[in-house]
Amino acid sequence: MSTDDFDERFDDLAAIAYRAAFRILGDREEARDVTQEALAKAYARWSKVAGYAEPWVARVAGNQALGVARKRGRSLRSCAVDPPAWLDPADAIGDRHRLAAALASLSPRQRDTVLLRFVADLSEADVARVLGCSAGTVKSQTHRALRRLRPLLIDSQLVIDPRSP
Amino acid sequence: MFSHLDDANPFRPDVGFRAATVRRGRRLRRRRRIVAGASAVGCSLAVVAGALSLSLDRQLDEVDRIEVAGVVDSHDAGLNDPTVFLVAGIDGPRTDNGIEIAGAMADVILLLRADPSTGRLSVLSIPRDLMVEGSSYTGRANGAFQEGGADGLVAAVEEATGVGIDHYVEIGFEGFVELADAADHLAVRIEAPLRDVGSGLALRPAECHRLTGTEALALARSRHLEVEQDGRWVSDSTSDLGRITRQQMMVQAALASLVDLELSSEDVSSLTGLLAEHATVDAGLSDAELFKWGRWLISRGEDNLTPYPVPVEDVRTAEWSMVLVPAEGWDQTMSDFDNGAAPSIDTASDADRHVVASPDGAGPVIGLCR
Repeated sequence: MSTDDFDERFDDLAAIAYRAAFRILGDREEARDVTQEALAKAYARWSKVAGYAEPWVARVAGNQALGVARKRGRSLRSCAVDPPAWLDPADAIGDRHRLAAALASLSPRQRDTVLLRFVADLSEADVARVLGCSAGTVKSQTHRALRRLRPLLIDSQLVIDPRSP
Repeated sequence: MFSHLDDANPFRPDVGFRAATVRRGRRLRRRRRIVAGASAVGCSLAVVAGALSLSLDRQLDEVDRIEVAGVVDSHDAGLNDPTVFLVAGIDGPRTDNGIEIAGAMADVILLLRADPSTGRLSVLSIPRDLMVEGSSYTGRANGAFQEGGADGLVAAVEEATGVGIDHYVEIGFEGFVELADAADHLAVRIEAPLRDVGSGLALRPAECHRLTGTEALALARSRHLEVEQDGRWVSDSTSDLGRITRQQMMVQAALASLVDLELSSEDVSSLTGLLAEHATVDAGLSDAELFKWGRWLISRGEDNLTPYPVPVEDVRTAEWSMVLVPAEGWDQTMSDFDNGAAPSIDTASDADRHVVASPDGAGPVIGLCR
């Protein structure tokens, strides 16, 4: 597939990447940098990923954003288990910390599934396509991940509905 | 669902952003070697791996590849020839938003010799503080990467050891943490409470403790380790040499766990995905070879893993605060390794070989699980 196609889809891909990154980072500049890197990687591999570029870019951007968040706040795992007192449950900043920390506590496959389903708002079919597995596997990974996540997100506004399309 | 976290005024890319993105993408694309003959790769994948799944193929193709001067062309090597890999654990990201980071150091430098004809994997861990003196670089081994990147590191290690390097694999420490977590199998024996207040490390005694990725990294990097003795905390007096020994022990534990893994196909996919995200390899390492060697590595079993002791001694010079230099037995060890001969130098028993002595020399504090 030629990169003319990349040009045509650029704005949509950027929007997907930016939304995933901003939901995790809450910082425009960081989210913009993550967006650029994710799209540059897509461009470098365009002939391979063009067929499923939207979920692919969402995955790369989401994981990259988590990497940035991890560098910011050392021990995200301990934050999820024992959040600092200053995290205001009603505060979006607090929700982002909780989200990043909770995602960090998942296995890589579970993390990808939650990132793509609920942070990037992709369908089960799209998630299955980019992860190279069946929709059934996406369902079971989602179920296991949510069982683990719910107690960690209980004091936040982050309500995950597994029935979302 | 998470819409309350969205940007109320989201970013819209302009012409400049788009152009910069494409430029960055072209640079990334130039790094990736185009393996000649896609159909030939497809055939070799089928022969070597037996119908490699599409998702694994896709993930392996996403591993970053770079041209590395000095590594041999993979097509020259026979399928069963011994192959030497230089594996570098890099402290600090290779790039940050498209900008290469100066200052990243190679904190772990491993030579792995894989011999399919005997089924043995030989391991030589080059201390990062080894002084290397070569035609293009003189200094500590870990600084060779900082000065000359992968090319510089390969050249420095080849000159210091005399061992020819066939392939290069680089993993950032973040990747090491994620791989260790995903494998969930990196285990050590801890004989006394350990801590490093600076890094947040805190370990209790255990016969065999499974380290999280974060614990593993903190232990490997610890510079101010303390051991609890008789109710009080005592600094680890082995200092730099102790840290080097600890790192080598952990590398040994990591390899021992890797070669003994039992992985489901889903685990393989997850680990391959992590590799794609965090590893960089030389352009001569095709998808087929990457898969072949990865599968070979994790099917070795600990009995087929041979670590080679590295004879070094600590010197202090006017210019360098602490460096290591080759000691008696160095040349023999390198020759043994390169030829696949058993190590000539006597070592301690398997369980006690890589330990960190307690500060008063009373006995080992941390080591491999028995």
